[in-house]
Amino acid sequence: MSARALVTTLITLLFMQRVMANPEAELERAAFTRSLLLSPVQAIAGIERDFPVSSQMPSTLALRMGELYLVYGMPQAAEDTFAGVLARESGPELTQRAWFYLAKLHYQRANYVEAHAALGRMRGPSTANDKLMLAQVLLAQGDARRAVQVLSAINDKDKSPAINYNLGVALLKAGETTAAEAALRKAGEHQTKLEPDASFVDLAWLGLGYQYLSAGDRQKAAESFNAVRRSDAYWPQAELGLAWAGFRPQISNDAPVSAQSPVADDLASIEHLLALASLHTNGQDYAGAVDLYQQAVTALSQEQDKISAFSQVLSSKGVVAFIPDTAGMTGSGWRRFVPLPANAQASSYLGALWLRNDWQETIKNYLDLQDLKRGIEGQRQRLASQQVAEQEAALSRRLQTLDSQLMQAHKNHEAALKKLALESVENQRQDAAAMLATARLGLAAAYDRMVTGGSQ
Amino acid sequence: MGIVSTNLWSSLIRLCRCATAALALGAGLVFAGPDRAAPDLAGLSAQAERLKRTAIEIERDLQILEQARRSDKPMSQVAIMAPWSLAKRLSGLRLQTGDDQSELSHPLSFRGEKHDNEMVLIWMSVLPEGKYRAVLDITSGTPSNCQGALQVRPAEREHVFEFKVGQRNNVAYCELREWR
Repeated sequence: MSARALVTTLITLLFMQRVMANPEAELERAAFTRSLLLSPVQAIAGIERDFPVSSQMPSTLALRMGELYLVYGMPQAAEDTFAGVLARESGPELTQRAWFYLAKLHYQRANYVEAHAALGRMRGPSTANDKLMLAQVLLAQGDARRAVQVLSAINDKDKSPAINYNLGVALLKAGETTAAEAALRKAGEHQTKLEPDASFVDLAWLGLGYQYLSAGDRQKAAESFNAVRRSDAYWPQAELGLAWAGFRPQISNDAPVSAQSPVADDLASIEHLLALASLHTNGQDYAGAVDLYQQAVTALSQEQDKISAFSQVLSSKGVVAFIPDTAGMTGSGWRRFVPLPANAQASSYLGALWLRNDWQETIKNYLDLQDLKRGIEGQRQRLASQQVAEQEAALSRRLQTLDSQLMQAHKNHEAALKKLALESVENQRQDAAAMLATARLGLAAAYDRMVTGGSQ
Repeated sequence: MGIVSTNLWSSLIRLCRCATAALALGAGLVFAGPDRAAPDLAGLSAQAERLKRTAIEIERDLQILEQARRSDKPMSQVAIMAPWSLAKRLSGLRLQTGDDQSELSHPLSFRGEKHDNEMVLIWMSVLPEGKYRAVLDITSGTPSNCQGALQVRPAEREHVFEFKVGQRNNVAYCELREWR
């Protein structure tokens, strides 16, 4: 026997020994490998092919299948699979995970009573994430006090920024502001660059800033707002908070307001100008207020033109032109999050939509359907190579039907995305119009007071 | 991101805007737009899931065909039809193999509104030769039970079966027939 054949035989024997020792673990590993290497459709179909008898699929693999359905955006299939795991009385750990996922599915659909019931069915020790899920459900049901109890029971070492942030929110809602500030500060001081923790750190600083602002502590509010990352989607809200607190962003000595203003290049920045102008009026610096209101009026007039121009582009090209993944980046298809458009204007006007779960889900489905449509030609070629005329004809018909259904569904998704985007832009146009009216009124009032020496 | 967070900012931002603006200007900034009928995103999501399910079934059958070709195992395309009056009351189809009575569970394929006497496709797949029993899970109404034998012969590459419903001595019945 050659050395190469010997090595091959040894590897095969070792592999067989592992499979025989723990076949379930091996199957799960195979399924996991498949999910990394293949497209979602090929991976899921392959497991369904190998395990046509769903009740005979090992519970560990069934749970993994549920997760695959979840990630691929098939919530109904995921729910059925987790229910199947529970129906066959799997072990306590798997049962626990299945109830957790069912609770998560109900929570995502805002069915809080069912989510609460599913979490109530979990037995045995619960993890920090289980408790976080329960607290979120309780908060959604308006029971902040119990949410505080649940989150407070988590060991400090297990408290992620998400947990401390939610604890801060629950405490605020329960009226315990001092404890809330401590929890939010703890979340904010967490050192990380990894998502989603980094976003929760920003959220905590933002929440803390607005809490200090409503309590009248502008200095601490400004410190909190300045801790939010400038690159983050939450920065405009922090910037606005800074304006209301009477501070400019990115200043080293936290100097109070001066006539110097930020560059107004979007609605958030212009709202910042209005906030500064109102604070100048309040401080009886009417000349400064007039200057800022004039800048705001000019910026808002230009902004209205920019919004109209973007709306026209959106009407003619649709949202598709701004979705990053449509520019040829197909990937493996296991997408979880669609990044913000690279185009600055689209990012500015559609950014708020991009943070919505239902918008993300619709775009993800739009791209998934696009992948399916692209894959049909490959399936046709594979089918033709089988050279079995009858089956080829039947499967070809099914592929043809799917192709036309995909085309229609794709159009429906595209139309819905465009409608939502245009509505969002229209809302911003109306916001700009309302802000322009406010700016003109403020300008007139400040001008009157300036020329009359503030006697009016 | 938690749902909680958005609600919190909104209320805090509203609170701060109203308080500070009222102090400074004597009026709050109101940015609400008019309500419009939103697109049915939940409906679109369900449509996308149905198409993904169909694509997975086709891919699975294609993989079965490829596997069968590699192993030279005879396979046949099998379709099962049922009248819409029965199909709309079904929650599932269980296919039991003749050998060990194990079950092959697959989602049903029919969609949309149909006429009661119209035959609709409820299931389609590729099966190896052999004897099976098809059991329909019926949610309500009569007949409450529907099952029948199904034979896949190697010589025939395509089989179409249909569930027929009717009345016998004022009792609703159901049977499975093959279209020849």
